[in-house]
Amino acid sequence: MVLEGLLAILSVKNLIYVALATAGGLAIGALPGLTATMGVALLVPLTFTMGPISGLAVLGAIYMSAIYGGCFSAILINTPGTPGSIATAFDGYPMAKKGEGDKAIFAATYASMIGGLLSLVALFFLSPPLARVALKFGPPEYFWLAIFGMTVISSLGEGSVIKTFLSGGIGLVLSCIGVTRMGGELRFGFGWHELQGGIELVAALIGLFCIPEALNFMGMSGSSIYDVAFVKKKKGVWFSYIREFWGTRVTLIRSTLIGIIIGILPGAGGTIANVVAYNDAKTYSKKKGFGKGIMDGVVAPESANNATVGGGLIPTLTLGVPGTPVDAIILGALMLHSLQPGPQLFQKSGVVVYSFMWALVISTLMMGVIGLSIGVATYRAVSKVPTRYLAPTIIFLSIIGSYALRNSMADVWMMLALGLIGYGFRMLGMSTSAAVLGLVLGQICEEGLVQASILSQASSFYRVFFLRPISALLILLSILTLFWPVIASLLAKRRSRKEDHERAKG
Amino acid sequence: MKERKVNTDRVSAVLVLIFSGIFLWQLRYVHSPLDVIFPRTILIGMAALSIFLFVRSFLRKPDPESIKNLFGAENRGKVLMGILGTLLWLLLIPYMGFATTSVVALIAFSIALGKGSDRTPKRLLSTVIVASVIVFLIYCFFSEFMEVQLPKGVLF
Repeated sequence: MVLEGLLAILSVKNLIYVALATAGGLAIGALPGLTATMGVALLVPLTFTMGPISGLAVLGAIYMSAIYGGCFSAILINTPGTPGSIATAFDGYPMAKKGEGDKAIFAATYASMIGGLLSLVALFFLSPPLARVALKFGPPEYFWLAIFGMTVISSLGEGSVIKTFLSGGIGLVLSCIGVTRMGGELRFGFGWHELQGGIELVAALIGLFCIPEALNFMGMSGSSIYDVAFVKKKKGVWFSYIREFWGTRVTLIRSTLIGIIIGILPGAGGTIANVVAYNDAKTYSKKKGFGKGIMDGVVAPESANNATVGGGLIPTLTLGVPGTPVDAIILGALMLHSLQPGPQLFQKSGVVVYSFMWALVISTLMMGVIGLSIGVATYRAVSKVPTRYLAPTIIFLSIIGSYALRNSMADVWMMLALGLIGYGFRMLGMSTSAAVLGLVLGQICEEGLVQASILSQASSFYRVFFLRPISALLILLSILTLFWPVIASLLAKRRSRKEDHERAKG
Repeated sequence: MKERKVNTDRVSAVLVLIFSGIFLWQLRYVHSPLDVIFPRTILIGMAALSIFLFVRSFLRKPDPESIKNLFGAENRGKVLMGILGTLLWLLLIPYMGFATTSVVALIAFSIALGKGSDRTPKRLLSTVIVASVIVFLIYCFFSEFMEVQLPKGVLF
């Protein structure tokens, strides 16, 4: 059935569909405000007339490439195109500013490709055992996963750690705005009913990243936002990129595994995976210079966010439990095409399901060619655009992107307000990245805490929060990550003392 | 005029303390204890940290990076113009429509941010063309392809 699925997808018509969907997905991912969820949801009705194989192939290709497309705006203008690319901006944009945007795009492209492909390998061969892991994740595990993600806050800011924590705290508090889950009351509404639905994450992302950057460009005296002298590179530079990329293989594999595992967990997805993978790479990599523009800092989040695609489809296809919001839409699309996700899916509709999985593989391979060429060309073009055009265009994209989320001007005003807060953060040396991280993880953290607290009423508090095996592992990882700089420095001191001692002896 | 530098640690601490105070005050209106525990813990932690930062800013020699003139950017006039221009842009959208307002705003910003040499008739014409093309392409992508109902005003 695997081969039959491959043969079914390998028609000229289907390949053209997949190529067009891949290019379209890149555009959707790259434009701030348009997310993979929105792209896939809007195209579901269009795929009805295509038949199940072509229709699902188009949705799969859009999904995979939109997740990757978010890296373009993150690298080029410090604005993550999708929430899954938040951490890509941490090192991608500094690389672009140094004139290494093409290197960052190269790394993001192949990290996304490899992360995506390995997650599809897991989807092909390891679906049943991995799906069982998803069922072991309960509210306490989600709470500790969010806490683990938050440990990255300690290392995000360039200046004062206290100010970075305060920025993260502001993000956490902002995530609490809206109608509460338990009492159904409006919390922190300040009398505005527009705040009932809370702060729209993508609008916040656009505001906190785009507006301060656009205002910064307006105040620039130069004509380009990058160090133009370095943008034009000599021939043969790609070989050095390949060599450097090979040096990131440990980060790549580790981040891909993180992406697959987080992708499997219902509700988590690329938004958390990219942050956790970046955190992990920054903590455990031997390389220095994270946050200042190094390749590992791009490889980690990009491989992880694309790895959530295959990971998320594992419980979707085998259990009928969607891993991410896009998976939920794909689940719906499968049902609309008369396919019933669950343990029997592969037996009953194997050809269609395997053709869908092969379409994802083909789309991922196409990303390597289409994505790299579009990305590098865009980088060269952006480097030539004068700031007097670029800055207002970014504001224009921010307005239209935040409006498109819910067809609401309230989201646009919220985006602008957060943008001005972000600009204030910049003036005061606070961290917008930490605030965004707080906003992203706050909801998951509170939901886990509240649900686990209810669970603990029937059992022991310590047993629920601390004694479950996955929770214990996550607590250990959080403590290790938080104190890793201290542990590493103690280990280094001990090593140098030992070396000094041996030298004195010899 | 003499530039006045401030300690950004101190300013941040005061602003975060005010923020925490306002939000803690707002928590009085939430009645379910489970809905209060998470934000209250965060807000109390933030208040404590900001008090620590404030006190420390008097006791310790400040980090050179924290002492700066908040409004001392090289082109602060342009930044201020950017903020006010964006506010005006948003205010006019419901009346003039999304596309019209955006074309006008893009042209106005491009001219205002440019140098004297960017204001020749030829350059101005190219600015109008560039702004119209950008707005047209993005507008069409969102309204036609992504089917977003963008606000329409007097024109479109």
